[in-house]
Amino acid sequence: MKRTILTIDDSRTMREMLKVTLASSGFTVVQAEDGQHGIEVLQGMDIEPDVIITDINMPRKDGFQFIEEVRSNPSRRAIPILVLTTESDQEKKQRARLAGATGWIVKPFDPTKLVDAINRVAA
Amino acid sequence: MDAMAEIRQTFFEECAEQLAELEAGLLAIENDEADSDTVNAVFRAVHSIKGGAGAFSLDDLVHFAHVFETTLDEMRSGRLESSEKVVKIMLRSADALADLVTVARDGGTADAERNAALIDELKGLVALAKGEEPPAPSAGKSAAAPASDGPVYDDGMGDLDFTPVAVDLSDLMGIGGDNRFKIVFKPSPRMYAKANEANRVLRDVYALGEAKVVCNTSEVPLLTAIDPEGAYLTFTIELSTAESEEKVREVFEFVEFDSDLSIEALPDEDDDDDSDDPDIADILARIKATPDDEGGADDVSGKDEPEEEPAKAAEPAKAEAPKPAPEKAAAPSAPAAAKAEAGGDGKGGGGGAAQTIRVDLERVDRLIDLVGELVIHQVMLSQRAYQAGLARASDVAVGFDELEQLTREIQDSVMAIRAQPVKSVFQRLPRLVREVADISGKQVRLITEGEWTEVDKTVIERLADPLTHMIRNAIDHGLEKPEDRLSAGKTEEGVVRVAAMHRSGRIVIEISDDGAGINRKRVKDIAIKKGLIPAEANLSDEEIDNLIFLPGFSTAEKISSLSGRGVGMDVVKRSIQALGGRVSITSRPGKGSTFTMSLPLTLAVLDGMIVSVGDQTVVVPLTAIIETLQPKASEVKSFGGDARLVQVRDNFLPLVDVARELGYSYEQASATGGVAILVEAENGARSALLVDAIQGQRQVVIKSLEANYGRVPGIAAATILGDGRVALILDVDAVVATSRPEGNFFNSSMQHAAE
Amino acid sequence: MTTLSPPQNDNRTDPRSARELIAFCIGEQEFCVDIMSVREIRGWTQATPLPHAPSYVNGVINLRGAVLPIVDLAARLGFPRTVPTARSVIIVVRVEQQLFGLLVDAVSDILTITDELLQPTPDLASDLAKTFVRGVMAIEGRMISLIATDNVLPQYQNVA
Repeated sequence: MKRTILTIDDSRTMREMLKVTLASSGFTVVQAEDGQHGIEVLQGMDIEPDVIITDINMPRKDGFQFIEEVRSNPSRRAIPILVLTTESDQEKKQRARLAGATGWIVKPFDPTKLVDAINRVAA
Repeated sequence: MDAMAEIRQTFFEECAEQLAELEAGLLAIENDEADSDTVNAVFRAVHSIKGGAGAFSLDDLVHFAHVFETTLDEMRSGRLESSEKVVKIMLRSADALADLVTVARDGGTADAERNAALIDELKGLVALAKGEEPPAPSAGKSAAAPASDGPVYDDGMGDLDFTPVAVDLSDLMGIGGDNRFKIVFKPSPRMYAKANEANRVLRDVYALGEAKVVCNTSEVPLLTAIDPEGAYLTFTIELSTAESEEKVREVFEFVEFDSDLSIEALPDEDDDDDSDDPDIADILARIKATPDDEGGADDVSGKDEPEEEPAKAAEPAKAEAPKPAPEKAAAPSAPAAAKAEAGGDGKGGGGGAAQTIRVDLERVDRLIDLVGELVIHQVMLSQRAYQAGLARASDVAVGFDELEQLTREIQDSVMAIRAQPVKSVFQRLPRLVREVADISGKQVRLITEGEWTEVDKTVIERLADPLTHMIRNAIDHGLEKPEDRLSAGKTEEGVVRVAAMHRSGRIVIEISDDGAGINRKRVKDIAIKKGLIPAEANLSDEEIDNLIFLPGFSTAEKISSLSGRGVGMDVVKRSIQALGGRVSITSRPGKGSTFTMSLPLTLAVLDGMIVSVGDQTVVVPLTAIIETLQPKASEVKSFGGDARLVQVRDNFLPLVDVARELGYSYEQASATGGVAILVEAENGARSALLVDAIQGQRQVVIKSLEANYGRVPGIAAATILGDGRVALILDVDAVVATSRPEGNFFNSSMQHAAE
Repeated sequence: MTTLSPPQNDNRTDPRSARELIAFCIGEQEFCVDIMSVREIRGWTQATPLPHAPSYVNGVINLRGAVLPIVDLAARLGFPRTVPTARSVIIVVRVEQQLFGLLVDAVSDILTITDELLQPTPDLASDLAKTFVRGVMAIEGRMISLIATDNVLPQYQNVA
């Protein structure tokens, strides 16, 4: 079965780039435009995504808040969440980790590395 | 277009949006209208541009955006005060960023010197915020040069390489190598709360080379005592790999803080391991023995946890996490609502992401075309039914009425889809004003109002040019220099106000300044000197003011760098007229001038009066029509040659024989047999159009003649009527103008003749 | 509408240089246009005259919502103007982005020819005809002139 990735990024460019990269690697891509939208999309999904990829800096609800909210639901603790960060900034990574992120991807990403990262965290 | 090219295009589209957001935010900060979310939005805009630029290796852009972002971050964190000076630098940086985006998109070169200077200024602000000495200026250094930021920017400023270092799953199954490591890995319960799993980590370790994994189960309690959220296993791994220690550490990157981890390099020689390990199979068997447990024993690394329900385990992570700002989630709707109120008109701001969809404009255009066809066919169908003898009172007729109502509503709704707030045009104005103010040495404050007023996209696109020229004109010619303002008892800073509103089915945009107003004596002198009006012309103040719209008129005695582009107000006027709009000016000496332009809300439909001209049916735009009347023989006078005048109350107006003007007839139509339609041309001059009969009034769908043919003199466009035939839409101004080749700008002499 | 005869199945034609043409009559003469430029063929409907248009422009008609100019091809070629009847035909052609209709008397044939069949326009043709006739060919004893559609519409309008 095709694996489903939920991508959350307020930048259309990034969303498109993720979509093209992931779709060409055989993933089904579901998109959301910010953390709040991500929560809404997640609630509406019939099957939980195999991996969530989220940006950090977003309006309405940022990546940290999004991850915390997802993790506050016990049944969603097993969904791997990767954060996208422009910074190789340790502080951001640690904050993401503390919020419950499974791992991170540094932008700009190389397509193979992106797919590797997913394979690394997905069952 | 391939996928990357499409994304690139998306990126530049998005850049435009982000730049607008950035500028709007900075202006809000400048005007003290900002809240914490404004600063965040400004930061995000730059951050987003940087992110996308990185993906396309637009290094100059990334570099500048990065420095800018870092400075904004200081503002966001409250360390950098948003003083006027700071915001000015940021506004100029926003302009520079916009230029860099343009260069990245269209090629060309950016102003490297200016950018380098701005980078220095921005860095200076960061240093200021950090309470440090500003870095030595590096003006002249190319913006593209890598940042040599030194110790001042230890927060990632120097880290511009953006090497994707995050994750790597090396070549599938690893083979052994010369490097040997001993890894002790003891996951904590926290690790599982983040969907990380020991077996995946171990799988990645296997991928690096030859690994021998030993699992220490000594801490596993008896089954009855097992905490399902606990973590009891310790893995000791001996790895032989060709990869470096760095690569090995990378495997544990996501989990190192949620586990006890030690990685040490072993000497090359083969040491036999001394650790005697308990039997893994044994412990797995013990776990498996639980009847309701599905934990697998098939993996060497072991299925480490019986269940993934670590409700408690997540607690520590949660407690450590920074408190989310509770006001943040609710805040964004507030400014949007405020804007909507301020605008009075139109929709309430950006709204939530879930409430909008993006649709290809072509699809909307296609839909609008189709609905236009639907309207035509609906009219056609009911006309034919009535011609065939359908009774007005019949059920079918009632059905037709309802169908008509519905089609109109569909048309209105569909047109509303393409309607956009004028904000997208207004957003570009602050920069324009800054630049023009700079060049002309004037101080200008721009006030915009009604930016949420909606108008069809086709109009929006063509609004920008005339608006730009009118604002240039207002600053260049309208506002006085600061010293002149002071001596006139005004503040140094002039005000240019741009306001949009809906008024009787049209959009009206007013551009006003608080400058000196039109110098009527000078304007008149120039017009006389240039032969535009006779020296003895007796003109009202209003007529003098409107002289500036005459072709060949320019009040600038020397050509300034602003108005020297050959774009006079006549060109502005013509481009507005081409849109079916009109423009006028009112001016008060010493107080300023106001230009008012009014445009149709759409270029897709038009309200018209359907008239008969000879055998043909012609549409006269309703906006041009003042009244209709049937001339009496006594009211029609010959006026030299073929020309005729019709007396309307106290005025004699030229009577334009439309059939002759359009070449439909060579005979002069009898004035008394027809109908005279009083029209006002854009210049305010009135004429009477002589047609044979009026058929009715109707909204018509505008069809281009130019697409398949070309411009037709006297005709603005075409439409398709209920009978399926093409009817032409009259270009009132052109018909009136050509009917009077000798006519000058004002037919006032004719009007005055009746007095 | 005129019924069209099926395309000639001609074994001699070399598919590489073969082209299909639509042949039609204006009075006694036969002309043709390249089928690639023809979008559709439809019956005559009354056109709305355009002010100040050249005499060979009949006016515009509604082609499913688009405004389609109609050129009286006879008049364009310097012959007397066509008096349209219910049996007249409009051949809708496309030149670059523009669509327009050619008013002709009737469609007569669809031809498959190779370029060798095409002969230069004879010198005795009028200058006007030479502007629009790319060449002539003899098919089964008939002489058919190939019309170049590029210059049929008045040019000056496009400058606007």
